[in-house]
Amino acid sequence: MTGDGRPPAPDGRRGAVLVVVVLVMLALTALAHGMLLSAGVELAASSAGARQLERRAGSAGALALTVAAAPAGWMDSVPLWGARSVVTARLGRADGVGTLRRLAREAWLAEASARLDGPGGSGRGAPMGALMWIMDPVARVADLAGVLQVDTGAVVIADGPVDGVGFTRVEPPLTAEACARWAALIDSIVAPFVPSVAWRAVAAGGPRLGLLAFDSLLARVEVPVLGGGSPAPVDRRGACEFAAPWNWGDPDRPTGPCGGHLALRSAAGDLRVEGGVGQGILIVDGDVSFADGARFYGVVVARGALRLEGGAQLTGAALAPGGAVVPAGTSVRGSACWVTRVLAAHRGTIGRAVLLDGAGVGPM
Amino acid sequence: MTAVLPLAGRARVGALRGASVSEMVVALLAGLLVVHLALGTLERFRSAQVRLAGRTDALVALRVSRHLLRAELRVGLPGRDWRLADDSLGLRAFRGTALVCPTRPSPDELLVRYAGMRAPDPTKDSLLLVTGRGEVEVRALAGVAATADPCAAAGPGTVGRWRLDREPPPGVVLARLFERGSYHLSGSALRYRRGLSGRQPLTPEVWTLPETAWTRTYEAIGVRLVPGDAGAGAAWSGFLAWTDRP
Repeated sequence: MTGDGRPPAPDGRRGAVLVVVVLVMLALTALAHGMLLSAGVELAASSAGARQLERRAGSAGALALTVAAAPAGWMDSVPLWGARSVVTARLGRADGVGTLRRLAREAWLAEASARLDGPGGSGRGAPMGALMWIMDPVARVADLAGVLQVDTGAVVIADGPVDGVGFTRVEPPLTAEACARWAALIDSIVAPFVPSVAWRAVAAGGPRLGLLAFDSLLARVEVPVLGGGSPAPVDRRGACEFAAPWNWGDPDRPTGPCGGHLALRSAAGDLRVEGGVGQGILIVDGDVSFADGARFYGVVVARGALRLEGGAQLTGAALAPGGAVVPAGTSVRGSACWVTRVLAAHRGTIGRAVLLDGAGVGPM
Repeated sequence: MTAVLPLAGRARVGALRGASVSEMVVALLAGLLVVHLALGTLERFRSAQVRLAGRTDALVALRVSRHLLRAELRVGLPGRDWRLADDSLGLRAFRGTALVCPTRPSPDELLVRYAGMRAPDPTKDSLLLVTGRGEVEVRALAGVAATADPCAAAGPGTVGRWRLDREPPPGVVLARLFERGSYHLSGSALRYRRGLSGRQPLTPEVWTLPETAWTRTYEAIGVRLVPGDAGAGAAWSGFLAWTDRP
């Protein structure tokens, strides 16, 4: 008998329910523990995935900004295999850095990586890259096969001089200072003379400037000119009017208001330049003519032919697949310095990167 | 000596007669109820854990598939480096990138600075050689040797001498290491087949076929992943790569 008068429970059943419940509770605890563990692992994996995505987004952002960055004068000073940090980009917690590495005169590797702030953000990661072609003025000059470059089989009538001798000489109105930046490089990689005329097969799309297709060149020019006209410097109260379509700079007065203005102009059809003077780059979707003593210093890229008449002079180089007519009294003189100078002045527009080998290279 | 119970005690014994049986019945019922509830809870826990595990597997499979495929396709060109067939995605799987140093040890060798996800292996790797003008040519990697030769191309990675099956084109600036492979959605998982070897699963086997499949639109390819277990999450459709790049 127990103290309260109840008979004692049989020995075999004493606390049996408690044992069962305790066992079940233990099993439940083990299962709950397993679930927590599983959820913890999943959380850790997804957090790592999210961090990786953040890092990749930061890296991709930095790479895109690096690719889109306008080419600038500092590129001339980057030696082969040299690298320079171009952009830093912040996207959420990711801190991306973009670098440009020169692999050849016109081949650049854009590299980007990103680092995460805060917990779990150790070290730089998610490296990405893109191979790009960026126009290099001196390399373009070195690539010129002739002062006049025409399509295979095109007719060139040259009674006047087409001069490729002294291609690297600096002659008035150009001054040595104007070309000092590229002088050493021009002397090292550009031949001192080039053939006067070179016949090279031209693709159906028109002449190219390196990897830049003609249509792309045309599309990058912001100021068009129509039909014909006479270029002359235009300034207002001593400030050069850069956007005036027929203001093509003032090569005769290098220190004047428009002396440093190197024009970039395009024409959607044939273009006739009647007298006047100008310096820069002309992109012409047709034939281009210089007449009445017109003088032009720089580069002419035309889909059609080049014609000079009436004492006109062209100094620099011309790509005219349709052929050329240079009668007596007119002249075409090759000038590495003029070509380099005008191309360098517009590297921010026509020199923008062309992606090579797809959008990206990797893994890196 | 005989103990004489008090009157009240005798009355209580009478009142308790049969009580142990009913107590036992109540205790057993209560015990059964507790055990039933416990087992039910256990069962629910178990099924929840199975669902959680299934969902975890599906999420892992989704994450791995998306990350892998996007990463593989991002660095290749459609048509040239990868092509989607009816049941598989065949590709050049790029495994690393090497800067080509200006020094050339011999006509069919390149001195390179290489960085990638694994070491180059001449038994299975080829090279996509890219020139500074964007022209590409493919060469087989015939041999790899470590070298102490200096490389003008500074940066991460290791310098090595790579022997090719024949002379590289002039003006090579970049060598991209790749192996031939293909991705398959088969056997409820994403599988990778290197060369002509077997298909290795890369993810848990969680998807139902044929609902899980590659998708193709006019300008992009994608993938539709449908978990076999409805509790493992919803189907996911996503973009993988453009098929028509400028």
